[in-house]
Amino acid sequence: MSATNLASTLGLDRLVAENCLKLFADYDLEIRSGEVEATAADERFLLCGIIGFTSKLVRGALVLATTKQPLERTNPTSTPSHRDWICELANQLLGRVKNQMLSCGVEIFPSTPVAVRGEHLSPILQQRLIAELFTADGGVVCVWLDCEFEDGFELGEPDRCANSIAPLPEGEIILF
Amino acid sequence: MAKRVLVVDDSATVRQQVRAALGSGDFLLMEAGDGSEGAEIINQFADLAAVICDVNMPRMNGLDMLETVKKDPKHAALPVVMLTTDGQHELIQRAKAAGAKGWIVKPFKPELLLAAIRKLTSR
Repeated sequence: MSATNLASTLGLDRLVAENCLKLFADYDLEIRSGEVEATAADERFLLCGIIGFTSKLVRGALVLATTKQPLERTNPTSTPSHRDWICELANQLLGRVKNQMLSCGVEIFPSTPVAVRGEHLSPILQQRLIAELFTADGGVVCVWLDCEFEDGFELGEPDRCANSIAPLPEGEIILF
Repeated sequence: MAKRVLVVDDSATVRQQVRAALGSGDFLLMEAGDGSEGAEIINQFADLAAVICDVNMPRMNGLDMLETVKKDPKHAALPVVMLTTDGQHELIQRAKAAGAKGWIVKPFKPELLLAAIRKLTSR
């Protein structure tokens, strides 16, 4: 992996981790980055939401996995569908990342998400892949981003597109 | 009399969230899981008061659905609000040009959605 791609990967990992924290906070669940307690680490992941994306110079997939409690505590509806909700969370997380990548001069095109159920799920590492692990009261959230870069890909500084209008932030509403 | 509102989203959880947000009794909610199904319902129900529509969906996306239904003059006055994870201004402008009346970035605040739909359906 080139130094440019490594820097871009690190930048994307940071974007994904920051937005994962914000996404769960918007659903009133505080998750914390860092060491996972042994009891929480032993808990089995319930579901993964996987959503792919493409663009000219980067393509890949975002994977969001959670144990039962964070999934159920964030679900805003009274009759939760675990499958539907993990897909929607993955979709909303990639949506946030997409909006911020736009500010860095990169446009990605997400696919529709799929859900996978399994136990002791973990990524098969390619050259460099780090899963971001978070703890929440009563559970664990894990997210990782698997990317392939073409030569020339660069994640610019957030002000790179200062001449264009910043994407509308989450929760905003405009009427025409 | 309750006003008929259609919510088009491939996530049943989001559809249920919208149902809960508008569940005051003022609105009668209908649901569609993609743009193709949404367009069919819009064509079937002439008394729809508003449509709330996701963008990224299988089969037919929300912007394609919007452009398809707005080509028909009988839907020209139907208020459509896009509800999506996307905040990209090019897409917002495309929706506005096609005749959408609003854009909301998920996750949405129920009280804001309710206020927007009340405003649009009282015009």
